[in-house]
Amino acid sequence: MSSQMAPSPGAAVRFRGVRSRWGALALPGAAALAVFFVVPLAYMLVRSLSDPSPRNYVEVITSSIYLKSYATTLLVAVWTVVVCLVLGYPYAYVMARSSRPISMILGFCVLMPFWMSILVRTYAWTVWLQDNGLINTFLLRLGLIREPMALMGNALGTTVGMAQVLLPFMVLSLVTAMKRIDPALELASRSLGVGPVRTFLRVFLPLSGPGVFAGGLIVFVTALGFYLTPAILGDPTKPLISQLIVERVNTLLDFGGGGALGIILLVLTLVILLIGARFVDLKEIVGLRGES
Amino acid sequence: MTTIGAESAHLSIRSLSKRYKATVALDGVDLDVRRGEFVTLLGASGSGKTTTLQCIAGFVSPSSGSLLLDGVDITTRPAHKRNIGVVFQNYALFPHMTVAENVAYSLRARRAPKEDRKERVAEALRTVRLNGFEDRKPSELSGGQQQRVAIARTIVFRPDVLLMDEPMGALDKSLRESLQLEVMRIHRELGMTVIYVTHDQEEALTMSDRIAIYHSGSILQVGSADDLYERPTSRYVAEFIGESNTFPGTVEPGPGGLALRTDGGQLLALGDAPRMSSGRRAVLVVRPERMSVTARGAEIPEGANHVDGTVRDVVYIGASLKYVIEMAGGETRQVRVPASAVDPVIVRGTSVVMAWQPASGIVFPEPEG
Repeated sequence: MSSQMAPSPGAAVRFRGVRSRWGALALPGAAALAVFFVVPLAYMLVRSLSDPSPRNYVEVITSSIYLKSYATTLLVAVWTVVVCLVLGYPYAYVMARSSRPISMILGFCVLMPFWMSILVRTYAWTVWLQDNGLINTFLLRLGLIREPMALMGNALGTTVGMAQVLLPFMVLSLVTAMKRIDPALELASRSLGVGPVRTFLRVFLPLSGPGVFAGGLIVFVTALGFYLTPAILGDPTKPLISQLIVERVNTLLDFGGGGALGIILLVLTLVILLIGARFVDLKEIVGLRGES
Repeated sequence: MTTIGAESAHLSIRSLSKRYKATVALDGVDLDVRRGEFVTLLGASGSGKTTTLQCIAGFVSPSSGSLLLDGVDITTRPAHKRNIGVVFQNYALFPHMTVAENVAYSLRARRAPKEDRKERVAEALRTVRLNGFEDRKPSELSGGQQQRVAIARTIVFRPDVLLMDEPMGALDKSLRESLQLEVMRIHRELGMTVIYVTHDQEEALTMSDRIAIYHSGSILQVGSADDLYERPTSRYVAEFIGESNTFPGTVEPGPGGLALRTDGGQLLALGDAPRMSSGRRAVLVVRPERMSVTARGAEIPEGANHVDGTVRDVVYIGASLKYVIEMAGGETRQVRVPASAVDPVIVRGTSVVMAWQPASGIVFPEPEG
């Protein structure tokens, strides 16, 4: 009888056994990651220190060209976050607070760019932004400007192009956080005599903060590694770090130097993630958020 | 039905309706609430009680009808300018603020001076017996405590009317009972007008001055617990409030006025001669405690209605005893007898007679067609 009274511990152990065997399902993916990611990364690290020597790093750190490029890269990433936030926040708000069909249509629109090649999207921007592009032609015809404005070939073009690519990440982070805000809180605030604007500022905005941080962090970190968009829309005289890496490796065949630039970018990204982790639950970004 | 003059009403609801595309959530609701009165909107879910509350709060704008507060039309006034407090079922406390900040929220919005604010927050927390919890976050409190914070947050700005939307719905039974007493005490102490929504009949009967019974978007009857129990004006209310036995049948002339021929063939005398014509389908409702049970063959009081049956079950409920009695057709009815008046001869299986005075029954016509 007593064995029937206590079936749960045995069941739990058996269940755990089943789960540990499940773990094998992750093996192919883990193996692929090890072969195609960890090994090349280690190889790059070794090469950056040995081809010809660790002097690669000294060269990068003491060169104003590289330091400036890192600074430009960070600045463009910051601007990209700002643009994504300004465009994404109201969009996410509507998406989180509207009825299901509207919310689904908005979600579809946000995800649509994912199905198009970044290359195609970025070249599409040149149709709008170049000197004889649609915007300049239109404004010239209207007589609002006398000479074409420089809309690309500078940080503006890069930021616009990168923001377009990264906007979905921002919107999805924001929507996740906003959907967690109980609509009754806004009603409660209204009933307590607080108008819609101050209700937004004092209740909704602070509670959407985690989404802003999470979206900002993921957009910022991803923006640091962009190559195609700055190469097509950016300023060739102020290259981002990814462009310099390509130049080192492809043009100068300096694998050690390129490796050093890459490792520094990687370390920079990890440092920013670590600092960010103090403010954001990183689990939220990787989708591991528990039920707690 | 108790009606009060519109001129003495604190809050007046006039033929309020709310339609969503295909559905009618509210269909011409009228209700006058006196200053300081505790009125409960009682009904099944989807009956319109919460929609009424949301219209009063200003969260939902009615399709037609109007709301008057002290005679002033507030139908289109935005929620934050109504001075009407709301307590929500899921508390809706601001999770990023402490208890004190939650309670002070409305005062900060009204730019009350800091000293005054502090004093009123302390007073409100004293009223709900939560002083000492000022610096806690809502997530550190139990459900009951959170709801008391929500009440403090609402009473602190002294609203004209306090709306409570199933505030105890998420609490367990014992907590619910103690919070009911708490809410009643706060209502008494502050003399606030309270409109309370619930689907819990017992809660409504315990707490309210008057109860409005909702059914598919309209109010069927408004009255005190006693009114609704003793003088229901519809079969729905009679069956909704308390326990009741029903005898469906057809009206026909009887020995002393109109009577009801039940579907089982018995002729039951009707009390106050209802204005119903012969041949009309109707249902007679009798409360279980208005009936008596005697063993078959015993003397039946003069003029009483009586129906034969067999005891199927005897249930002890504290001070009274409930008999479940099976009638000829297999249907059961219930009779409640005070424990002091129980006849020990009657046990499960005894053949008995249920009897009641005609005046104890209420007859309702069935809808035609």
